[in-house]
Formats: sequence, structure tokens, C-alpha cells
Amino acid sequence: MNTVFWRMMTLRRMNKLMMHKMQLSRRHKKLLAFALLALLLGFINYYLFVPRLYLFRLIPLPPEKTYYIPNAFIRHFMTGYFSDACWCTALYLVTVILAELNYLQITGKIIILSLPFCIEFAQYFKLIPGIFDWFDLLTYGIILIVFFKMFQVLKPTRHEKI
Amino acid sequence: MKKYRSTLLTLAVAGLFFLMALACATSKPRYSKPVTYPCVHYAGLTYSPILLKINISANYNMKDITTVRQNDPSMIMDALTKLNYSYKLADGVRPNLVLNVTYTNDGYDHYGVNLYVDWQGQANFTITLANNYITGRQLIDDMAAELNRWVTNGWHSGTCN
Repeated sequence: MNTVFWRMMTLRRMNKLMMHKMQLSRRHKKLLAFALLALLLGFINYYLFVPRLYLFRLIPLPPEKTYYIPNAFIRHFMTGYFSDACWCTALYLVTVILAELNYLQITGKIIILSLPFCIEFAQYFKLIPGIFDWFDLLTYGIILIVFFKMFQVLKPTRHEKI
Repeated sequence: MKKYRSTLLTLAVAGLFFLMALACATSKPRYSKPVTYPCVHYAGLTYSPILLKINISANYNMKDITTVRQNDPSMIMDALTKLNYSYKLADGVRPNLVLNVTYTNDGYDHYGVNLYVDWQGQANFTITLANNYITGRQLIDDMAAELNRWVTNGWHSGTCN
């Protein structure tokens, strides 16, 4: 009983320490807010235009109405790529925050940055549900290049110990 | 400790976003070469009764789809039985034709319809009336006339010369 109590206390202290260390700067709070906004936009887009997802079977929302976009190009973009782009942007923003806070090592960065591509290839080999699309890969590639240009911290460089 | 924390965070973030991707799996159309299907002719339906099942939807945000689903099947049946007495709504039996009616709107309250007809899962055809209608009655009458023409004279699938 005593051991369990002390273990719990240690865990609580560690948790407090982590929370204290994880305090985000204003810039990181902004980036996190953008990430959440991107996820929210992607979610709303799916809810309005592509409501037949596994996601909406899990979340009890009012019955969906499928809205129709008359312009074929915009409809194709919104139903096919917009939410994917939002999801990828949110993932990379979270990665930027963690990388800038020094919480990610080089392997972690590579794993997270390559996740969208891995998921797409897993869909190609029918390992997970969904349809492989070259344009998804192109979208992720463009977003990754933009993030590399904007945030130097994402470049997976190994720092030599001096 | 730092390495452990890094691994844990990597797994947590990757796992969370992976779950999101799984939850949002859709069947997106893939780009592929257009397939040419062989020409197959189907003779008109001469038997009676021709049992129908009518599904109604719209490609725009219809104000009251529930009321339309209640009222329009009888309006469609009225229009069809004026042309041919053989049409009846299937009730408790397998229908001969399933009519998937999708009303369309060009955004300026001009209506049209896209009618996908399934014949006992063996063949199907589609009738499209452009968004040139301002009254539902005229639209339904024209759709029924077009459907009756196809059902009476027969139709074909695939590419026919």
C-alpha cells in the first residue's frame, strides 16, 4: 500500500514537472491554435461535403445534409483534398512545436514528417481503408516543402557534440 | 529520459494523427482509363404489373426532403399510370424497377432531375432532364413520359454504334 502511494506521488510530481516544462510560449500557443483550427476546418469540410465517413458514425452529430458545390473543380478539391491538406498542416504544425521545444529527436521528426506519405502507401497496399491517390502525395509534398522553407527546425540535421 | 520522452511523444502524435486518418477514410474516385463496355440491348418490359420502388434525394439542400419523400412517389405514380396502367408500387415484394430520383437545382431555382433506374440488379439506365423546369409537376410529367418510353421500347447499355 505504502509503495503504491509513493509511486503515485512520484508520478504526480513527474507530471507536474512535465506540465511546468511544457509551458508554451506565445508563438507556440499560436502555432497550436493554427493546428487546431486546421483540424476544425477539415472536420467542418468533411461534415458539410463528405459526411459518409467512419468518423461521423462514431461522433453523435445531428443528421448530415450533403451540401453540393456547383463548380466541379472546387467540389473536387473540397471533397477530395482540402481536409487532407488541413490534417497534414496540423500534423506538421504540432511537429514544429515539439521540434522547437526540443522534444523530438531526428528519428521522431522523420517518422512524423513521413506519416502522411506512409498512410497513403498503406492505402495503396490495402493495409488500411481508404483510396491511394497520387494527388494526395503531391499535396503532402507541397505542404512539406513549404514547412521546410518556413521552419528550419524541421530539417532533420544531426548536431555534432562539441 | 530525454530519448524516452521523445519516443513517447513521437508515438503519441503519430498514433493520434494515424487514428484521425483512419476515421476519415473515404472512397475517393481514382483516375483511371475510361472503360468501354460492350453494347447490350434490353427489350421493353411487357409484363404486368411492373412493380416500382421509388427513392428520392436531391443534390442540393432541399427545404423539406421528408415531405417531398412522402408526396412525390404518389405524384410520380399518377403521372406514370396515366401513360400505362401496369405500373404499381411494390409493397412487400421485390420490385421490378428501382427508381433513384435525384432532383437537381442550378442555384437559381430552376429544377431538373437525374433518374437512375435499376432493373432487378441486372441492368440499369439513367435519364437526365436539365435544370430547365420551374414547376415540380411539369418536371415529374416529363420524367414519367421519358421513363415510360424507355421501359416500353427497351434500352441498351455500353457503347452502341
